[in-house]
Amino acid sequence: MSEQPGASPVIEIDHLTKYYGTRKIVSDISLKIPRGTIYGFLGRNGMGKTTTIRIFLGFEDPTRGTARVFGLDSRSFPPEARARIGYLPEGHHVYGWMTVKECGQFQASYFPAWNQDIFETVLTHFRLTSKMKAGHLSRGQRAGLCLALTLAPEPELLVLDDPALGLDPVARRSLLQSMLYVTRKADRTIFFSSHLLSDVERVADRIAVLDDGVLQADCTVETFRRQIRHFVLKFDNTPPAAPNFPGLLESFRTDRELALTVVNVTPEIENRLEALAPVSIEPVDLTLEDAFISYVGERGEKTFFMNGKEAK
Amino acid sequence: MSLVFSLSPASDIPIYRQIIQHIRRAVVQGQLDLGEQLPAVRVLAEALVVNPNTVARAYQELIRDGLLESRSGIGVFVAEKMRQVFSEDERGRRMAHAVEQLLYEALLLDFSLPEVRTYLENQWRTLQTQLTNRRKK
Amino acid sequence: MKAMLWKELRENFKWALLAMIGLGLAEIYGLNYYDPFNYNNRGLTLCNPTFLMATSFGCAIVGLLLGFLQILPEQRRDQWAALLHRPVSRDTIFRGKVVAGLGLYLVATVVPFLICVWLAATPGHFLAPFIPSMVLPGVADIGTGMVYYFAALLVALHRSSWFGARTLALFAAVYLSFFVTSASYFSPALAAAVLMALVLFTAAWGAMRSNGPFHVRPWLAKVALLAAVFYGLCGLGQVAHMLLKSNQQEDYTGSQYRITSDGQPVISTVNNDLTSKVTDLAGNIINDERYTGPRSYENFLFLNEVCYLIGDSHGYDPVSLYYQYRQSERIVEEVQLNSLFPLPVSWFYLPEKKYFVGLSRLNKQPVGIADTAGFKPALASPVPFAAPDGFVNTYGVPCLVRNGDTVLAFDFEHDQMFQLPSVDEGKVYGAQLISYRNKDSSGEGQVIALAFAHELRVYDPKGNPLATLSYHHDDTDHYGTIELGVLGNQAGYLVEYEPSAWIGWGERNKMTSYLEEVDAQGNVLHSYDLPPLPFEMTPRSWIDYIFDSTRSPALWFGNLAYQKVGGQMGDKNLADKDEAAFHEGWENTKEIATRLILYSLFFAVIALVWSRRMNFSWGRAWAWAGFVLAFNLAGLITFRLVADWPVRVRCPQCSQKRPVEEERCPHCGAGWPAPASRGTEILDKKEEVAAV
Repeated sequence: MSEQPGASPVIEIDHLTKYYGTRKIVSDISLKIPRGTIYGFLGRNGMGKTTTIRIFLGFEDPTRGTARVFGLDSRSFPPEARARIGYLPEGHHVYGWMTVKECGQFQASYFPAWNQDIFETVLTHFRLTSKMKAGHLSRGQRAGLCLALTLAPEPELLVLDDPALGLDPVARRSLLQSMLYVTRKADRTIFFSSHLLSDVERVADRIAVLDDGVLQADCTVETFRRQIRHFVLKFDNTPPAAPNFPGLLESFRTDRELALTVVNVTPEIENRLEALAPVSIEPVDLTLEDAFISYVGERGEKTFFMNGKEAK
Repeated sequence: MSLVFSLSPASDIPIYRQIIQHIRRAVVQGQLDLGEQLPAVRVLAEALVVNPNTVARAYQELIRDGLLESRSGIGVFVAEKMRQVFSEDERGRRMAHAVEQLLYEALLLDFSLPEVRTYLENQWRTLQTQLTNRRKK
Repeated sequence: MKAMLWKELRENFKWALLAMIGLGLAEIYGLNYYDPFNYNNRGLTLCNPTFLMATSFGCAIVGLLLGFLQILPEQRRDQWAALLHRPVSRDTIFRGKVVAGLGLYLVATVVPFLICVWLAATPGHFLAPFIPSMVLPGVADIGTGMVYYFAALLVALHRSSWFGARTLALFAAVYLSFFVTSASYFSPALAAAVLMALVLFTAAWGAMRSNGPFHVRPWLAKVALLAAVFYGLCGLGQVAHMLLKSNQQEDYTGSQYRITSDGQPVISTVNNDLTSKVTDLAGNIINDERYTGPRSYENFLFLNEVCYLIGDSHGYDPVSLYYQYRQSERIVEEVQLNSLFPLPVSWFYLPEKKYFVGLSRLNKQPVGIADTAGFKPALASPVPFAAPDGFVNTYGVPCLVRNGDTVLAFDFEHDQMFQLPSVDEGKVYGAQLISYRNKDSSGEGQVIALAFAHELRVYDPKGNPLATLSYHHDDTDHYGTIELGVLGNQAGYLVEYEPSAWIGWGERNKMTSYLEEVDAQGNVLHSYDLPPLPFEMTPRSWIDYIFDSTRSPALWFGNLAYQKVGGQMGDKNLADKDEAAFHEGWENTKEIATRLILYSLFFAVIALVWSRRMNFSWGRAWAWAGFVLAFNLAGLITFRLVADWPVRVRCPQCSQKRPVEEERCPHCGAGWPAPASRGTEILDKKEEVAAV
């Protein structure tokens, strides 16, 4: 999947800021989502992910800055543009009184490019039949229904807000497979937010991490992993406190060891670590999830001394 | 052939590297013949439920390593002859690393050097036989 | 659109059905519930106060419920976003919802109403005749309920705090309810309902269109929202006024002329604590327990009006709006008889048709009519009276009806009619049944009085002439309101001459009335002048002061202009009001006008200052100031609630408050600093990933 140089991004967020009252929810975010990518949007709850999505889809107005989709300003979307965007909001809401078939008919009446085959395929994948009542479906089945409704119009851009929330492993797998199926065509783009790092690792090309409303990372998954390193320093006696330098995410001291998670390691940082005179410095590989947790978690030292502090 | 294997999702080994490791193992163990075609990027990606770019990356690196070769328009194949792309130093370094892993394990399990040697020779022989059998088919 | 309609209808149909049943039950109960002791409101069937309570509250509640149910359940989190994320304009979605909602509303309200109309219109169900215009109050209430539907939509869609513009939208509907239930005529009530529905509909549409801000809405929706909030404040004000006034003691002193049982005119002054003071015409206090004690009414004589003008009517139209469109007395007057037990037949006078119908109490079927020819069977064709509207006596026996130049007397106890003899010149100006009490409380009596051009004629209840009393005042043109009282035992009569009904209020208050005591032969025994008593306006309380000061100049001056123009164009009512405002009440008018202008200016200046402090552009600031100038305090509050009040935080550079939406600080020109770098950013250039 190659990106033609100069192709305009599907989503373009430029210095976006959003306040609710005097509270800043989203702070000066700039993001470009190229056509054809699968972009993961990560961040802890309440950090502004859903707000950002709602803004660039035109359901909220930005306080400052702009958001554009297909080059169109989010504040004044022409209705036809929405046919090209598939939106799966958090919560998998359906109209409970409708049957699966009626849901499909209702949705299809709005989208001229409705592909009934895709709709039925996804339904079968999630083991849904047309007579089932939407209100009686389990969480996973509802997700499947909503996914089918979103994928059937074959949108160019797919926006999924925490699609795997509450899903069992089988449903989650089906969701991933459907997402990958969408990108068969090179011009399809997926923008999704998630908490399941393992799923993100499987399907995302790039990720953006939002922490406290500020964009902290915008890179490939590989870069993210590479930039976050974990070191275990062994000492003969009580290890010193970790030196304070930007990039120190967290540290952990035991009797003989000082473990550090660092982002953007520079030679200077390596020197500082060596200056602590440890017996050995051992790099440890982190899973994406551990890296992420360190990245957005609480900063600082977590001490845990064995001597003298254990309960007798 | 089926290249599907179980990915460890929440692992400290990146996915593309797991794919690389698995393909290498398959070649060595004979599950993949020399000159055999590998599944298309998209097909393998769908089977493993991963981003095709990840599979592509794995293939690319293996091509660079010389284990695979790309024939334009047709696909990706296991190289007929495994070219040695590595320098002597690089070869030596990689070997040293693998031996180090083996010896750590042996020492932990309290094996002596002669016992290790025996294990090595037996396993080498078995592998060779497998490979030969496979190639005959 | 069709799909949205189908969805909305299917989704809410069950609620509409429930509402229909509930409303139907309430209305049928109200129809059947008749309180014979409610003397204030003797509405029949579809004008029954209980029924009207069911329609007015019921339709309002149904409207509110349907409006809320169409929006609120779907506003859960992102379900609303899912609804809006369709390749159709928000207008289309809104239209779909409204068409479905209105359809369901009409089904829920019209069906039970039609059933009630059928019940009332079909003889045999109720002891009351059916006149088509009895449906008008119900129709007006259905229209009002529709306004509540739109109010609910606006409340649900508008994004703001609940205690602001949203609650006020509801009060706008409440304000309309006040108007509809107190309007005199049906057309203005319906017109107001339609207008308010349009306003709230447009405001709700604007709320749907916008993601919250006010200034991006279509201008029509902006105007509508301002109007909705403004009327909401009016509604709130009206409720507050009602509550405050009901707690307040009316502080008033009223003087009036009264006549003792002996025939003496006195001046009676009543204080608000109900103590009274009685003086003679010269002003000397009469300390007589009979007149000031608790049972004083027994010692006073009451005069009844026999006619309200004599001769040329000067274009005067008898006050046909004594009853509102909501009161069935306007179109059906039940004959009230003072008999001890009810008669087998109940009689009703129909002012529009001008004859009587009788309904059997047993089976509620029509059993007869009474017209110019007397009593006839029910199916006979009626010959209507030539009487003017509303001047038929339906109290007591007999009932008197003016039929052109004759007066007919109907005895409903015995189903007999007789004609009262008229005078040669013919013209009868009034007929009245007058009761009197004998002095020694030995009983009551009644006489019939007819007013002719030059004399009063008095008859006994059977039509036998008793006396002829000539008018002793020449100017019957100006003094055409003749009142008659009977001294006990028919010893004599009291005749009072008052200004004719066509004389304007201002003129009338300066004219002296005349009272004469005459004997049974018509000879004047005593003659009294009754000069007009000083007219004391009730002093304005502080509540009235506040409410008068907060009136909108736009509406108040507009109303004055409307009265002036209407009066010039011939509407007597408006001319009267115009006169009152500019002549008698000129001082009052001037005072209120000055107060309004001063207060509005004051609030307008506040609005201007506020706007500029909040960094509105000069254009916007002046526009708002102008709005507040036209609408006084209500305008200021509306401005505060509706305008996009910018959120302000401290500028990191100059520490003054600056609006968050602006890129540059209005004080120091600084932009916004980028968020502080933590040193943990991972940002790479997007690499091209080549496909294999």
